[in-house]
Amino acid sequence: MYPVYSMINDLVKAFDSAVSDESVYRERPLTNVYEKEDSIVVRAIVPGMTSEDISLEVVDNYLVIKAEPKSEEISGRFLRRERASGAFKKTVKLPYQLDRDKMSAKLTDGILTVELSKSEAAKPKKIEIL
Amino acid sequence: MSEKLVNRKISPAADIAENENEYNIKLDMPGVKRENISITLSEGKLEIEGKFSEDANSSETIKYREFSGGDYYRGFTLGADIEPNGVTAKYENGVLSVTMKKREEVKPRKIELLAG
Repeated sequence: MYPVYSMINDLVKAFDSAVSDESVYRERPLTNVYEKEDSIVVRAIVPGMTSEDISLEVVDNYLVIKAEPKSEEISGRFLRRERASGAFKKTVKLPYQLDRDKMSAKLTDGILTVELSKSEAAKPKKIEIL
Repeated sequence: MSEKLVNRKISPAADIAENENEYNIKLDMPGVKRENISITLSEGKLEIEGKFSEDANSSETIKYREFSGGDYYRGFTLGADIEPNGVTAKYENGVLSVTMKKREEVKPRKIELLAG
C-alpha cells in the first residue's frame, strides 16, 4: 500500500512544481513586453532601485537592461534575507526593429517602463487600392 | 484553479534586520501606490497589504509576460519586545520599510560600577 501512495504523492508534488510559477527560472528583472500601434513598451520589476542604478541600451532589436545598485547599509544584523540584491544584466528581444532615437524611460514605485518607437519600416502602413 | 491563481495574493520578499534599538523589515512591493498600502498592528501581529496598480493602458497588447501584478499580503508575528507606539514606515521606489522600536526595558543597559 505505502509505496503506491508514496509514488502518487511524488507525482502530485512533481505536477505542482511543474505548474507553479516559482519553479520556473527567470532572470532578474521580471519583464513584460507590450505592443502599441507605433511602439513597444517594456516593463520590468526593479524594487529599491533608483534611476542612477539602471542603464539602458538598444542593440539592434534588443533592449539591454543593466543595474548596479549600491549595497544597502544596515546597522545591526540580518535575521532574514529574501530580497534579491546585487547587479544584473538582462537582454530582452523586441519583436520589431526600433527607431533608436526615440526611446523614453521612467521609474515609478519600483517598476521601470521603457517605451521604444518602432522603426518606420516596422510601423503599420495603409495601402490604398487604386 | 486558474481563478484561484489569479486572485492569489503575492507574499512580498522580506529582509529583516535587528540592532540593539530596533527591528527593521523591508518588503519588495513594486507597483503599489503609497496610498494603497495598509499596515496594521494588532495583538502582536503586524499585517501588511498593498494593492497593485499597473499603469497599463488599453492601447497596449501583451506580447511576452513574466510577471502578472497581484495584490500583496504578508503577516508577521511580533515578539513581546516591540514598543507598539514605536512603529514607523516609509515607502520608496517600490520598497516598504517598517521600523519597530524595542521597548526600553529590553534594550541592553550599561551598568556603572560604583566607586568604593
